[in-house]
Amino acid sequence: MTPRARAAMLARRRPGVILFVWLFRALSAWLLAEPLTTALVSGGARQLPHGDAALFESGGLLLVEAVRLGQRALGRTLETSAWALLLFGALGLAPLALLLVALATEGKLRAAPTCARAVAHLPALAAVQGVGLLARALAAVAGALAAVAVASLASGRLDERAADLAALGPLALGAVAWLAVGVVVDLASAAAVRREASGRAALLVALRALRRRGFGVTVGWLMPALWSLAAILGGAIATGALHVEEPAGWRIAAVFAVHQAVVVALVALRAVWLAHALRATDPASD
Amino acid sequence: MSRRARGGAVLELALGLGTAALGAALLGATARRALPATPAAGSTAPPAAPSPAHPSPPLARPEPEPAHGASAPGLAEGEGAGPARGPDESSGEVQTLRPGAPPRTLGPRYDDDRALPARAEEVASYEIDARYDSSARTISARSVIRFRNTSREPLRELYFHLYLNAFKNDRTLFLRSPFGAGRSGGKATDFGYLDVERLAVRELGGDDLWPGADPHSPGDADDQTDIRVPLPAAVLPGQHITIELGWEARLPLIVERTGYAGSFVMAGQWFPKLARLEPDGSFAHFAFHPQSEFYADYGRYAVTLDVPAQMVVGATGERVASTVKGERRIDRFEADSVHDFAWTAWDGFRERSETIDGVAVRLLYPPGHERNAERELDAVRFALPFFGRRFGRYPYPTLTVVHPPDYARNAGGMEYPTLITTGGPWYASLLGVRAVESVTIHELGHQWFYGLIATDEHAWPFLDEGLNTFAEGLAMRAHYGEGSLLSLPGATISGEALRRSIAVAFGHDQPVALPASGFVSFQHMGALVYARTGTILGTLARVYGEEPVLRALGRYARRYRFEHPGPRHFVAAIREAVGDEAADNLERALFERGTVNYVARELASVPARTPGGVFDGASGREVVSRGATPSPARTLGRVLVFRQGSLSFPVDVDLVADDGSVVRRRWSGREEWTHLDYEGPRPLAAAIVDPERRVLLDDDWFDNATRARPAAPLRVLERALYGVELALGALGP
Repeated sequence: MTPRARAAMLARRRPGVILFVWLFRALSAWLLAEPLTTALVSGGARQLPHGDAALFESGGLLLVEAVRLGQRALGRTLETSAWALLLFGALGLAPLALLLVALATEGKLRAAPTCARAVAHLPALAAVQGVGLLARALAAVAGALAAVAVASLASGRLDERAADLAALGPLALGAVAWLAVGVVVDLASAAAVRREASGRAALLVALRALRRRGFGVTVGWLMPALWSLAAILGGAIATGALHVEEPAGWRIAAVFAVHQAVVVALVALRAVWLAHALRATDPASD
Repeated sequence: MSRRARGGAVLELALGLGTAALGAALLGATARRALPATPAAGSTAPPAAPSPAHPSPPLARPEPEPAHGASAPGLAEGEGAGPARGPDESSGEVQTLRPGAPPRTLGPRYDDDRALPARAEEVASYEIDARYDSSARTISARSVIRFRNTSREPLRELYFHLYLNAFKNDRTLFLRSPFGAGRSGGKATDFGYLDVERLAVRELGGDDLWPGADPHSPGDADDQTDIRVPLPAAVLPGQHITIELGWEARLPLIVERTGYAGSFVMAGQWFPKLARLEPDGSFAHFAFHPQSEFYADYGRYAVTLDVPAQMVVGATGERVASTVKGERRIDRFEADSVHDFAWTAWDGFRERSETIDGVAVRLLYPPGHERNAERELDAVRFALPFFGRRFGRYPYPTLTVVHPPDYARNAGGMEYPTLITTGGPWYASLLGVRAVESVTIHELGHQWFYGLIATDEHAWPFLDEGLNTFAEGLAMRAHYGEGSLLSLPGATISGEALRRSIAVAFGHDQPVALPASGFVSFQHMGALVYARTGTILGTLARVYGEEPVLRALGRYARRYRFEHPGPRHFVAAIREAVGDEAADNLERALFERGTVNYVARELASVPARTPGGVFDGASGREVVSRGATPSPARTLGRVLVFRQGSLSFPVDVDLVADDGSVVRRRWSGREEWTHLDYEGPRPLAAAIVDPERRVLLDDDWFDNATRARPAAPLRVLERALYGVELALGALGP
């Protein structure tokens, strides 16, 4: 397998892998969503003349009824699902590795060697993600503690809104730190694949890339992130107009298509950013 | 008072052993007595003396009264429940007001405001001069109560409520539960009390009678909220007396809507208050129970408040004078035809004023809450005329709306005459939840269902909180639509949906019509008194029509303005305007734990076939083979429909064929079950009872429907799938 030239690492050259990642996510999600669905309709919504359409009616009379009658089943399922969500989140490391390898590889991909190479990178990627998780946790705790301290200081000195907004400052900083850790982790993941580096080496490369090309990296991350938000918002508007509470079956199909198109777009936009991260951490950039 | 304002933590309120024992005793007594009593044959009671302003309610003791006072649980069955008699206003005849008998009619004269009384009969009027010491948190005051014996019996004692003593120590009825107490869910962290220093009756010699007063509430040595004062001589029916009191109150750190927090003060139930005098000469007195609210006679209040000069003061009634003398501000407030007086003071208040529907509305709110202030004013702009049109115009010149600061949030969500408190964080409106609006409209509704129709909140809490919850729901839906509780893009939840959910969950546990102390927990009281009453009335409105139900409420509210009606006055109004069936359902739902659940089962379809067999006809015996199908092909269908529970409402039943066509049938719901037959070109695919979900009280809406084949829940699955995909994207690497 030939490493791709720096400029050739583009998401649009790997639509098949993008679709594969989407498929992986969709299947994982289905495994989690199915028991949740079963729990929510366990009260008997399947017996309604138009099935679960009434659960989407304005005012939520039957939605609240479904939650009331299915609350025990929902509670149990949500508890299990929370753990399953973490498990599937961790399993998402595999498609990430595959996507990075595909983006970084020249020519037509062959399944076996591509997968083998992706698997080979998993330890480094896991190490990077582990460090990232720890750093994010620290950012969250530090932000929360700082917010409590500011709130305590502001209480009595500022009015309620000003005091709350002042406390939001540290929380916002924590959120920015959280996102920055995510950017570093992605850069390090890209470096681990592109440079065949260990987790530690990859993190150092990522930090160096951020230091040298901070603006470019930020823009490279921010644009896909903004487009992702726009895709989710657009999806919400489009599906709202489709009135899924009406009985017609085509409406469900249309909403499904819109939502899955949004998820494909999100995966593609992530691929765009990862391709950028690969270019930013390419040895040729040193 | 708003349940929401009390916070979710309140929901698990449990009574302590002592309180539970008393509650159980009261519950037992009440459970026997709660049903509308059928008067003994031939028993009579004279009608109450008519007030100058308006004829009094015709019932001497109109209801099977829940026990007031410690001796009440021992009352014999039916005692105090007296015969319900009164003049029929339309015919002048005396009729018995009892279930099943035609009620005294209210009539269309109460469909508008022309028959509204201008003011209440003055029974207990208060003149109070109070000085607030902001460092000691004390109020030193003198009161003069002008009281008239409006009963038909001589009075030899008076009962005073010293509500603040509920927060005196951990042994009071209010605080003794080790599991926390009160609607706000908290224990007192800085105790408060009310010390009476002197009590004299001018017309009875003017001696200090307080040393002769009972030292504690009747039957409860640890409680001092309900004090009996023996009189040296009888006060005759119609006689006026002047009661002079000197007293000092120490405010607690805010608990149960009253007290201080920082420099903020909310003074509710802060002065010695006469218990309400019933027409039979008894006082409706009770120790302050954590689940209870209040009950008092109407009168005129003139209150002078002396507070630190920097404080902004809001209070019941009109501010008629305000002066600053040195470091003190002295404000005088006057209110006519009210039965309570509350005030608030804080040096941090911002203020907005506006005339709404002819009423001078004053909004006091904390800095930073400008957005809430606008939403509260918008709610009042809508709801004041909305309620006025339906339940009689708001008669007072002022309304004060108080939004306490967040650190005093326990003062929020409470009603007093012409003054309400709201609440909510400054960012409430950003969350899509209409909590601030809902609390504002709820407390404003209490100006009618509590303020102007002064029902006994201790004995029948559903009459103020329940009716008001229904009224609040009407206003919220009219103003905010289906998203009256939560309104987010793609998701709206109505308050009705949430109330119904709570109402059916608790409907089997206890009746709705219980005294506040009779509920096993505050959670039950909240669910039954607020949510279930609102849902019962919502069901009547959806089944029998909103217009007649509103007409009944309007007549009830106008006819009993400035009076003290009981449950049967309300039931009678429903009977008159909505009908016997509705009233019977209402009674069962309120007094008998009435529930209902419609169930559809055993949906079946078969092809129609000509009958086969041996037939003897005019042309002789004929053998016809079974199975010939008519042309065009027809299908026969059947579904069984059951009604479970003691309530019965007429319902529609939709029979849905597999091509989506619907045949709608009407079922009276009187029988316990029926089968509905169908004949049509296509087989039956589904059937549903009450497809428009009019019966909000239905225990389970999903068993109302049955299908030949259960539907795949594709919409839910699709939405769950998308949600999990987004979550995986956000949480995954």
